Amino acid sequence: MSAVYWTIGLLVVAALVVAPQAAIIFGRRRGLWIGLGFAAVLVVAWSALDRSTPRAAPADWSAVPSVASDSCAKCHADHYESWRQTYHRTMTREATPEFVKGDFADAVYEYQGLPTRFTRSGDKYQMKTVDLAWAAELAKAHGEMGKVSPPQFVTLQVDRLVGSHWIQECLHRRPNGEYIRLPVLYDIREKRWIHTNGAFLAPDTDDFWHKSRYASWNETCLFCHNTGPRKNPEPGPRGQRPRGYSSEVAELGISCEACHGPGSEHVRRNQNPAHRFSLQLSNSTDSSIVNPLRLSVPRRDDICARCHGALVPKPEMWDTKTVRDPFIPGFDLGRFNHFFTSEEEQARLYNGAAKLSPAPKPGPTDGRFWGDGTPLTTALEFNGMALSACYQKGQGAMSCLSCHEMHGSDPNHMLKPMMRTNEACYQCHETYRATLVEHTKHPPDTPGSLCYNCHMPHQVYSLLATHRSHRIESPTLEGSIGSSKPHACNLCHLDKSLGWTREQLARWPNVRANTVALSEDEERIAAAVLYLSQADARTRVVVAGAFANPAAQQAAGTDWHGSFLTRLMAEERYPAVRYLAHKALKSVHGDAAAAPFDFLARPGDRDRQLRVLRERFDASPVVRPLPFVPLTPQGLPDDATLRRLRDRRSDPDLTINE
Amino acid sequence: MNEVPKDLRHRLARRHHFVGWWGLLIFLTLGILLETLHGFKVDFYLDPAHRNRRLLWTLAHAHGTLLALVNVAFAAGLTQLGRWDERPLRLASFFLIDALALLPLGFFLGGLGHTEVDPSPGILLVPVGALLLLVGVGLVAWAATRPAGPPP
Repeated sequence: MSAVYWTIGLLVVAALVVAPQAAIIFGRRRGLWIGLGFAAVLVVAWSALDRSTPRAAPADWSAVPSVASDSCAKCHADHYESWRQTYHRTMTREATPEFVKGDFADAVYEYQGLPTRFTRSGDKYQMKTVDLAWAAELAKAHGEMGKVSPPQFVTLQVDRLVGSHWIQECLHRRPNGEYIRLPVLYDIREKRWIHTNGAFLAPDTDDFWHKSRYASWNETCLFCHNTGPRKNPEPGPRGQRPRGYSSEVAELGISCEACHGPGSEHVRRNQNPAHRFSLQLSNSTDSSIVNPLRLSVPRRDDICARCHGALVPKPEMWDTKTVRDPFIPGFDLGRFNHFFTSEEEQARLYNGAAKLSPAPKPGPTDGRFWGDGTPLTTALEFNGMALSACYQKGQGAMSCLSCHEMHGSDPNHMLKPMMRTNEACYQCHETYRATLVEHTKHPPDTPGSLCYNCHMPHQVYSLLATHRSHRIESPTLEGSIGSSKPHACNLCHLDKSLGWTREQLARWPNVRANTVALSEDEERIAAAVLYLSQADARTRVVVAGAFANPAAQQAAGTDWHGSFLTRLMAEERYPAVRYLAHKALKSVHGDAAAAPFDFLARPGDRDRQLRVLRERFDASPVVRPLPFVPLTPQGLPDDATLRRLRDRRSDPDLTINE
Repeated sequence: MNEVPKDLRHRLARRHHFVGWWGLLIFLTLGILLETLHGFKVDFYLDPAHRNRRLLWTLAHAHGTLLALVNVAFAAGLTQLGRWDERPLRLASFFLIDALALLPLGFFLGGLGHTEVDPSPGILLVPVGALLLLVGVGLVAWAATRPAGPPP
């Protein structure tokens, strides 16, 4: 029954109650007319109210003004409340007591022997840290304090915050409107201040401001960490950075309009109760707002891909004056942006070059993609999914929302109920429910029988943690050899070699593992040891993270971790690798047994700390056979083999800026 | 218009006593039922997704109880107070009873099949009931305001 009939029916029924009563009082005929007249007035008034509001979608979405998320709460209290629980909401906030996570109670954090002090006066927060220009002097002198003037410090107000889940960055607003990232940030998980040089995957550096010198919120964070961004740069001299900014956002953080589009027209139309009931009863789409679930899968995923995909703007599609993001949910993201698949391609596209076909493959120091094209950082989840056979052959069955939901889910990863289990895959691959053990060749209810661990392993790094790859694939040796991407099997079977993996893979039908040629070391030395000693920092950081993974600890045991990791950490020049290796030690031996160690301490201090730890762990040699782990007869790491492997390390400077 | 005969006042008073007290019984029972739903933490009523239902059913209980008392009060006063003509009296009587039925029923039906945003269309009974209530109370107020006439 249509909305009109429903409404008319209800009002007529109500009004006809009046008719017999009026008939008793005023006589049958007059009573009937009074009743009918009353019903007619109600129906006409209601219909007029309904028709006063248009139904068609706004002709120009970009002209629809934004509204704050509070406007949505009035009607969508549950959705608003579930969104309030998310880290999307608090991705960017002003630095107010409600949102500041760091310790500003006159705390002091020391990095490279230089103190940074955190203070609070009223509701204002300050960071007294190393002066930017002096830090440049020190960097030129390769960190030798004796060669530069005495340290100079500057007190900067913390005006804005980015992040509220893993790490919180502090931003300072310059007089020209630019927000810069301050060099020390707060690690929420560890409840401690850490230097930015250690928070991202980057080698040790003498430059105190290295990771913050050019980190401008207006140029980068603005677009994905906020809703309705508009850069509004004040142009500088040709080819140089803008003179300043008057950047605007519809709302700080990722709010309702990021997924539902500008909402003022929706709010205006739905003030009208007749319009709302009409939509409700006819089960019609409200064309004044975007409901991602009603979009086609590509358009739906575009909403996520806008921030979880690798994009370079198409300059011709953006307003160069305001640099306002022209994408609105429901639009084709590709109309305004190129997707890129390597940092080389990203750089080419930024410089205005045409998109090449085929696209350049990721290079050996690519900070975003493994050699086979699999994303190696977070924020590229869409690219990973789009590479998956599940997505490409799924004929629209799969989208981000197959597993994730933005409302009502656990804010940590935002997965739908049961989507941490094999139920995620059973949505399409139902047959594996009955043949799980046969398929996985691992006992049921073990990590090896969790689809994710083989098909979406932790091959992604960001923010001092490893994360699941969103490229859903079957692990092959071809995908790992030459791509730097650690093999999925060996991210749990840390104590096994790639040769062992090849033999195991041969047990699966349709796997052509035997065609891959492996070196002698790859045949006989545990892949994790090889990776940590020889591979580049991208691989090392992912493998170091695997040592802290309970699934890997269950598969490979933990009795050999301490002695090996303390040795491999000793010459590690990437703080993030040291951090994750130490995290693994803490997870196995407990905080006390893995202390003292500070992954950002000065080299001499770190060496002393590691020596203490190594002696402690060496006191408990390995007593079981570990055929692929290079051990001496005494059960300690074979230092000669480790040295030989270490000497062959490929260790270019590279950076992951996530 | 003619002043209302005493027996009509008595008949209507009896009707409003009947409706009012039975209405009070029904809506107090509804209130106890709602408290029971609280007591047993019934999702159907207490789940955050059903906050509209909770509000609407609470309103149904409150309006029903209050309007039942209004009907009882009307009955109690009818034989003694107010200067009534027949038609306004009959109208006021009907409308007070209509309001007692339509307002709580509208709230109750609104809470069945509600959405996050709005009650179900049953809520449309509420404005109709409210309109009739206003007219009914207005007539009572008018009768109470008029100077007393000669005893019937």
